[in-house]
Amino acid sequence: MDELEENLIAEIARGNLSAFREIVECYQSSLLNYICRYTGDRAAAEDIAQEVFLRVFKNAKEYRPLSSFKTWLFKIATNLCLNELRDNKMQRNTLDIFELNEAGFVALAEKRQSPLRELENRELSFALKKAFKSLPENQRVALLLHKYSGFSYLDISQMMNCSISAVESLIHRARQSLRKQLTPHL
Amino acid sequence: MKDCKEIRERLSAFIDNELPLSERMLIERHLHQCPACTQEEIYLRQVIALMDDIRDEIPSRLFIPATIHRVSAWKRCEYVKGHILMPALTVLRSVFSVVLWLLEANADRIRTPFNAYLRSFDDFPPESLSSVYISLIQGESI
Repeated sequence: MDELEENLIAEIARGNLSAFREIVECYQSSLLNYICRYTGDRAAAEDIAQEVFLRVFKNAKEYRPLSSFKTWLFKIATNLCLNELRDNKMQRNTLDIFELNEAGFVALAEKRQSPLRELENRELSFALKKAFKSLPENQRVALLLHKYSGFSYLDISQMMNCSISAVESLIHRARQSLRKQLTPHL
Repeated sequence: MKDCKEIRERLSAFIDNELPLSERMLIERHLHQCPACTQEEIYLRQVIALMDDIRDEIPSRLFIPATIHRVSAWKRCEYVKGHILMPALTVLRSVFSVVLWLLEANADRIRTPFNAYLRSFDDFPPESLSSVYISLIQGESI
Protein backbone atom coordinates (compact mmCIF):
# COMPACT_ATOMS: atom_id res chain seq x y z
CA MET A 1 0.00 0.00 0.00
CA ASP A 2 1.40 3.37 -0.88
CA GLU A 3 2.22 5.85 1.80
CA LEU A 4 -0.40 8.40 0.77
CA GLU A 5 -3.17 5.82 1.03
CA GLU A 6 -1.85 4.64 4.37
CA ASN A 7 -1.99 8.22 5.66
CA LEU A 8 -5.51 8.62 4.34
CA ILE A 9 -6.70 5.52 6.19
CA ALA A 10 -5.05 6.77 9.37
CA GLU A 11 -6.86 10.09 8.93
CA ILE A 12 -10.17 8.30 8.33
CA ALA A 13 -9.60 6.36 11.54
CA ARG A 14 -9.40 9.75 13.28
CA GLY A 15 -12.74 10.71 11.72
CA ASN A 16 -11.40 13.00 9.00
CA LEU A 17 -14.14 13.38 6.38
CA SER A 18 -12.00 15.01 3.70
CA ALA A 19 -9.61 12.05 3.76
CA PHE A 20 -12.64 9.81 3.48
CA ARG A 21 -13.90 11.83 0.52
CA GLU A 22 -10.58 11.31 -1.27
CA ILE A 23 -10.84 7.56 -0.81
CA VAL A 24 -14.43 7.56 -2.08
CA GLU A 25 -13.45 9.61 -5.13
CA CYS A 26 -10.61 7.25 -5.87
CA TYR A 27 -12.55 3.97 -5.62
CA GLN A 28 -16.17 4.84 -6.32
CA SER A 29 -16.11 3.89 -9.97
CA SER A 30 -14.29 0.56 -9.70
CA LEU A 31 -16.32 -0.43 -6.66
CA LEU A 32 -19.65 0.49 -8.19
CA ASN A 33 -18.87 -1.41 -11.38
CA TYR A 34 -17.83 -4.46 -9.41
CA ILE A 35 -21.02 -4.41 -7.34
CA CYS A 36 -23.15 -3.78 -10.43
CA ARG A 37 -21.67 -6.75 -12.22
CA TYR A 38 -21.83 -8.95 -9.19
CA THR A 39 -25.43 -8.25 -8.23
CA GLY A 40 -26.75 -7.27 -11.64
CA ASP A 41 -28.77 -4.55 -9.98
CA ARG A 42 -27.75 -1.01 -10.85
CA ALA A 43 -30.23 0.62 -8.49
CA ALA A 44 -29.11 -1.37 -5.46
CA ALA A 45 -25.42 -1.13 -6.36
CA GLU A 46 -25.06 2.50 -5.25
CA ASP A 47 -26.70 1.72 -1.96
CA ILE A 48 -24.39 -1.24 -1.35
CA ALA A 49 -21.35 0.81 -2.41
CA GLN A 50 -22.30 3.51 0.10
CA GLU A 51 -22.67 0.87 2.78
CA VAL A 52 -19.20 -0.48 1.88
CA PHE A 53 -17.67 2.99 2.30
CA LEU A 54 -19.56 3.47 5.56
CA ARG A 55 -18.07 0.23 6.86
CA VAL A 56 -14.63 1.41 5.80
CA PHE A 57 -15.19 4.56 7.85
CA LYS A 58 -16.50 2.63 10.83
CA ASN A 59 -13.74 0.03 10.80
CA ALA A 60 -10.78 2.15 9.68
CA LYS A 61 -9.31 1.82 13.17
CA GLU A 62 -9.28 -1.96 12.89
CA TYR A 63 -7.68 -1.97 9.44
CA ARG A 64 -4.25 -3.63 9.42
CA PRO A 65 -2.20 -3.28 6.24
CA LEU A 66 -1.57 -7.01 5.84
CA SER A 67 -3.02 -6.73 2.35
CA SER A 68 -3.67 -3.68 0.21
CA PHE A 69 -6.48 -1.31 1.05
CA LYS A 70 -8.15 -2.13 -2.26
CA THR A 71 -8.17 -5.83 -1.36
CA TRP A 72 -9.78 -5.02 1.99
CA LEU A 73 -12.34 -2.74 0.34
CA PHE A 74 -13.36 -5.33 -2.25
CA LYS A 75 -13.51 -8.05 0.36
CA ILE A 76 -16.04 -5.98 2.31
CA ALA A 77 -17.95 -5.39 -0.93
CA THR A 78 -17.95 -9.10 -1.82
CA ASN A 79 -19.28 -10.07 1.60
CA LEU A 80 -21.97 -7.42 1.48
CA CYS A 81 -23.08 -8.42 -2.02
CA LEU A 82 -23.19 -12.04 -0.99
CA ASN A 83 -25.33 -11.19 2.04
CA GLU A 84 -27.65 -9.07 -0.06
CA LEU A 85 -28.11 -11.82 -2.62
CA ARG A 86 -28.58 -14.49 0.02
CA ASP A 87 -31.11 -12.42 1.87
CA ASN A 88 -32.99 -12.06 -1.40
CA LYS A 89 -33.24 -8.37 -0.79
CA MET A 90 -32.81 -7.63 -4.44
CA GLN A 91 -34.03 -9.12 -7.63
CA ARG A 92 -31.23 -10.33 -9.83
CA ASN A 93 -32.07 -8.10 -12.71
CA THR A 94 -29.27 -7.78 -15.19
CA LEU A 95 -31.16 -5.82 -17.78
CA ASP A 96 -28.77 -2.93 -18.30
CA ILE A 97 -25.55 -4.06 -16.77
CA PHE A 98 -24.38 -6.22 -19.61
CA GLU A 99 -25.25 -3.95 -22.47
CA LEU A 100 -22.29 -3.67 -24.79
CA ASN A 101 -20.72 -0.27 -25.01
CA GLU A 102 -20.53 1.82 -28.16
CA ALA A 103 -17.00 0.72 -29.00
CA GLY A 104 -18.06 -2.86 -28.57
CA PHE A 105 -20.90 -2.44 -31.01
CA VAL A 106 -18.60 -0.83 -33.58
CA ALA A 107 -15.92 -3.51 -33.20
CA LEU A 108 -18.46 -6.28 -33.52
CA ALA A 109 -20.17 -4.58 -36.41
CA GLU A 110 -16.88 -4.30 -38.26
CA LYS A 111 -16.22 -7.96 -37.62
CA ARG A 112 -19.58 -9.10 -38.83
CA GLN A 113 -20.61 -6.86 -41.71
CA SER A 114 -24.12 -8.21 -41.48
CA PRO A 115 -27.32 -6.28 -42.21
CA LEU A 116 -28.76 -7.81 -39.06
CA ARG A 117 -25.79 -6.85 -36.93
CA GLU A 118 -27.76 -4.62 -34.61
CA LEU A 119 -30.04 -7.51 -33.80
CA GLU A 120 -27.10 -9.85 -33.49
CA ASN A 121 -25.35 -7.50 -31.12
CA ARG A 122 -28.41 -7.37 -28.95
CA GLU A 123 -28.58 -11.14 -29.05
CA LEU A 124 -24.93 -11.32 -28.11
CA SER A 125 -25.42 -8.91 -25.25
CA PHE A 126 -28.33 -10.97 -24.03
CA ALA A 127 -26.35 -14.22 -24.39
CA LEU A 128 -23.43 -12.72 -22.48
CA LYS A 129 -25.75 -11.55 -19.75
CA LYS A 130 -27.37 -14.96 -19.52
CA ALA A 131 -24.05 -16.81 -19.56
CA PHE A 132 -22.63 -14.58 -16.89
CA LYS A 133 -25.66 -15.01 -14.71
CA SER A 134 -25.45 -18.78 -14.99
CA LEU A 135 -21.92 -18.90 -13.55
CA PRO A 136 -21.58 -20.26 -10.02
CA GLU A 137 -21.13 -17.55 -7.39
CA ASN A 138 -17.43 -18.15 -6.69
CA GLN A 139 -16.51 -18.35 -10.39
CA ARG A 140 -18.29 -15.08 -11.09
CA VAL A 141 -16.60 -13.34 -8.17
CA ALA A 142 -13.14 -14.56 -9.16
CA LEU A 143 -13.65 -13.59 -12.79
CA LEU A 144 -15.04 -10.15 -11.92
CA LEU A 145 -12.27 -9.38 -9.48
CA HIS A 146 -9.65 -10.34 -12.01
CA LYS A 147 -11.19 -8.98 -15.16
CA TYR A 148 -12.70 -5.70 -14.08
CA SER A 149 -11.02 -4.81 -10.84
CA GLY A 150 -7.53 -5.81 -11.89
CA PHE A 151 -6.71 -8.09 -8.97
CA SER A 152 -3.99 -10.69 -9.31
CA TYR A 153 -4.68 -14.34 -8.56
CA LEU A 154 -2.82 -13.86 -5.25
CA ASP A 155 -5.07 -10.95 -4.22
CA ILE A 156 -8.18 -12.92 -5.12
CA SER A 157 -6.97 -15.94 -3.17
CA GLN A 158 -6.59 -13.70 -0.10
CA MET A 159 -10.04 -12.26 -0.58
CA MET A 160 -11.72 -15.59 -1.15
CA ASN A 161 -9.65 -17.46 1.44
CA CYS A 162 -8.49 -20.10 -0.99
CA SER A 163 -5.29 -21.12 -2.79
CA ILE A 164 -3.92 -19.46 -5.92
CA SER A 165 -4.44 -22.67 -7.89
CA ALA A 166 -8.10 -22.70 -6.79
CA VAL A 167 -8.47 -19.14 -8.14
CA GLU A 168 -6.80 -20.18 -11.39
CA SER A 169 -9.22 -23.06 -11.69
CA LEU A 170 -12.26 -20.87 -10.90
CA ILE A 171 -11.32 -18.28 -13.52
CA HIS A 172 -10.53 -20.91 -16.11
CA ARG A 173 -13.80 -22.76 -15.55
CA ALA A 174 -15.73 -19.51 -15.69
CA ARG A 175 -14.17 -18.63 -19.05
CA GLN A 176 -14.73 -22.09 -20.40
CA SER A 177 -18.34 -21.93 -19.36
CA LEU A 178 -18.74 -18.53 -21.03
CA ARG A 179 -16.97 -19.82 -24.12
CA LYS A 180 -19.31 -22.80 -24.39
CA GLN A 181 -22.37 -20.64 -24.09
CA LEU A 182 -21.10 -17.91 -26.38
CA THR A 183 -19.53 -20.07 -29.10
CA PRO A 184 -22.39 -19.47 -31.56
CA HIS A 185 -21.77 -15.75 -31.20
CA LEU A 186 -17.99 -15.77 -31.52
CA MET B 1 3.00 -30.60 -18.36
CA LYS B 2 2.73 -32.97 -21.23
CA ASP B 3 -0.65 -33.44 -22.79
CA CYS B 4 -3.18 -31.04 -24.26
CA LYS B 5 -5.59 -31.43 -21.32
CA GLU B 6 -3.00 -30.15 -18.88
CA ILE B 7 -2.01 -27.32 -21.19
CA ARG B 8 -5.63 -26.23 -21.62
CA GLU B 9 -6.18 -26.22 -17.86
CA ARG B 10 -3.48 -23.59 -17.57
CA LEU B 11 -4.40 -21.48 -20.57
CA SER B 12 -6.30 -18.86 -18.57
CA ALA B 13 -3.36 -18.33 -16.22
CA PHE B 14 -1.11 -18.20 -19.29
CA ILE B 15 -3.24 -15.49 -20.91
CA ASP B 16 -3.38 -13.56 -17.63
CA ASN B 17 0.40 -13.64 -17.23
CA GLU B 18 0.09 -15.47 -13.93
CA LEU B 19 2.55 -18.25 -14.69
CA PRO B 20 6.27 -18.42 -13.98
CA LEU B 21 8.48 -17.90 -17.00
CA SER B 22 9.48 -21.55 -17.32
CA GLU B 23 5.86 -22.72 -17.52
CA ARG B 24 5.01 -19.89 -19.85
CA MET B 25 7.72 -20.93 -22.26
CA LEU B 26 6.58 -24.53 -22.09
CA ILE B 27 3.04 -23.55 -23.04
CA GLU B 28 4.22 -21.23 -25.81
CA ARG B 29 6.24 -24.08 -27.27
CA HIS B 30 3.24 -26.40 -27.10
CA LEU B 31 0.96 -23.83 -28.73
CA HIS B 32 3.34 -23.53 -31.68
CA GLN B 33 2.99 -27.23 -32.31
CA CYS B 34 -0.69 -27.84 -31.44
CA PRO B 35 -3.42 -26.23 -33.58
CA ALA B 36 -6.23 -27.54 -31.33
CA CYS B 37 -4.81 -25.88 -28.21
CA THR B 38 -4.06 -22.73 -30.23
CA GLN B 39 -7.72 -22.67 -31.28
CA GLU B 40 -8.74 -23.05 -27.63
CA GLU B 41 -6.49 -20.12 -26.73
CA ILE B 42 -8.09 -18.02 -29.48
CA TYR B 43 -11.56 -18.81 -28.16
CA LEU B 44 -10.57 -17.86 -24.63
CA ARG B 45 -9.08 -14.59 -25.86
CA GLN B 46 -12.29 -13.89 -27.78
CA VAL B 47 -14.33 -14.39 -24.62
CA ILE B 48 -12.01 -12.02 -22.76
CA ALA B 49 -12.31 -9.46 -25.55
CA LEU B 50 -16.07 -9.78 -25.47
CA MET B 51 -16.07 -9.08 -21.76
CA ASP B 52 -14.08 -5.92 -22.44
CA ASP B 53 -17.09 -4.64 -24.31
CA ILE B 54 -19.33 -4.65 -21.29
CA ARG B 55 -19.88 -1.00 -20.63
CA ASP B 56 -18.74 0.68 -17.43
CA GLU B 57 -21.29 2.15 -15.08
CA ILE B 58 -20.72 5.75 -14.07
CA PRO B 59 -21.59 6.64 -10.48
CA SER B 60 -24.32 9.24 -10.18
CA ARG B 61 -23.31 12.82 -9.37
CA LEU B 62 -24.96 12.42 -6.01
CA PHE B 63 -22.96 9.36 -5.06
CA ILE B 64 -20.18 11.16 -3.17
CA PRO B 65 -22.44 13.68 -1.37
CA ALA B 66 -24.84 10.86 -0.45
CA THR B 67 -21.99 8.72 0.89
CA ILE B 68 -20.57 11.62 2.90
CA HIS B 69 -24.06 12.39 4.20
CA ARG B 70 -24.52 8.78 5.28
CA VAL B 71 -21.21 8.79 7.12
CA SER B 72 -21.94 12.17 8.71
CA ALA B 73 -25.32 10.89 9.89
CA TRP B 74 -23.63 7.86 11.41
CA LYS B 75 -21.03 10.10 13.08
CA ARG B 76 -23.77 12.32 14.52
CA CYS B 77 -25.61 9.26 15.73
CA GLU B 78 -22.44 7.95 17.39
CA TYR B 79 -21.85 11.36 18.95
CA VAL B 80 -25.36 11.50 20.37
CA LYS B 81 -24.98 7.93 21.61
CA GLY B 82 -21.61 8.57 23.23
CA HIS B 83 -22.06 12.09 24.55
CA ILE B 84 -25.76 12.38 25.32
CA LEU B 85 -27.55 9.06 25.40
CA MET B 86 -25.04 7.07 27.44
CA PRO B 87 -24.42 9.79 30.07
CA ALA B 88 -28.19 10.37 30.26
CA LEU B 89 -28.74 6.67 30.79
CA THR B 90 -26.09 6.62 33.51
CA VAL B 91 -27.78 9.54 35.28
CA LEU B 92 -31.18 7.90 34.92
CA ARG B 93 -29.83 4.67 36.33
CA SER B 94 -28.40 6.55 39.33
CA VAL B 95 -31.67 8.43 39.91
CA PHE B 96 -33.60 5.19 39.66
CA SER B 97 -31.28 3.54 42.20
CA VAL B 98 -31.75 6.45 44.62
CA VAL B 99 -35.53 6.31 44.18
CA LEU B 100 -35.50 2.57 44.80
CA TRP B 101 -33.39 3.07 47.91
CA LEU B 102 -35.77 5.76 49.22
CA LEU B 103 -38.78 3.56 48.53
CA GLU B 104 -37.16 0.70 50.38
CA ALA B 105 -36.30 2.97 53.33
CA ASN B 106 -39.87 4.25 53.55
CA ALA B 107 -41.52 0.95 52.82
CA ASP B 108 -43.56 0.90 56.03
CA ARG B 109 -45.15 4.26 55.41
CA ILE B 110 -45.89 3.37 51.80
CA ARG B 111 -47.51 0.10 52.79
CA THR B 112 -50.22 1.94 54.83
CA PRO B 113 -53.55 1.33 53.08
CA PHE B 114 -54.43 4.20 50.88
CA ASN B 115 -57.97 4.45 52.12
CA ALA B 116 -56.67 5.32 55.58
CA TYR B 117 -56.06 8.82 54.35
CA LEU B 118 -59.37 9.22 52.62
CA ARG B 119 -60.97 10.87 55.61
CA SER B 120 -58.45 13.69 55.46
CA PHE B 121 -59.92 14.70 52.11
CA ASP B 122 -63.46 13.97 53.09
CA ASP B 123 -65.46 17.16 53.13
CA PHE B 124 -68.64 15.54 51.93
CA PRO B 125 -71.83 15.96 53.97
CA PRO B 126 -72.34 12.99 56.34
CA GLU B 127 -75.38 11.68 54.51
CA SER B 128 -74.01 12.03 51.00
CA LEU B 129 -73.36 9.07 48.71
CA SER B 130 -69.57 9.73 48.72
CA SER B 131 -69.45 9.70 52.47
CA VAL B 132 -71.40 6.45 52.61
CA TYR B 133 -69.04 4.92 50.00
CA ILE B 134 -65.91 5.96 51.96
CA SER B 135 -67.39 4.53 55.13
CA LEU B 136 -68.10 1.27 53.30
CA ILE B 137 -64.60 0.80 51.92
CA GLN B 138 -63.12 1.64 55.32
CA GLY B 139 -65.31 -0.97 56.92
CA GLU B 140 -67.11 1.49 59.15
CA SER B 141 -70.68 0.88 60.20
CA ILE B 142 -73.12 3.22 58.53
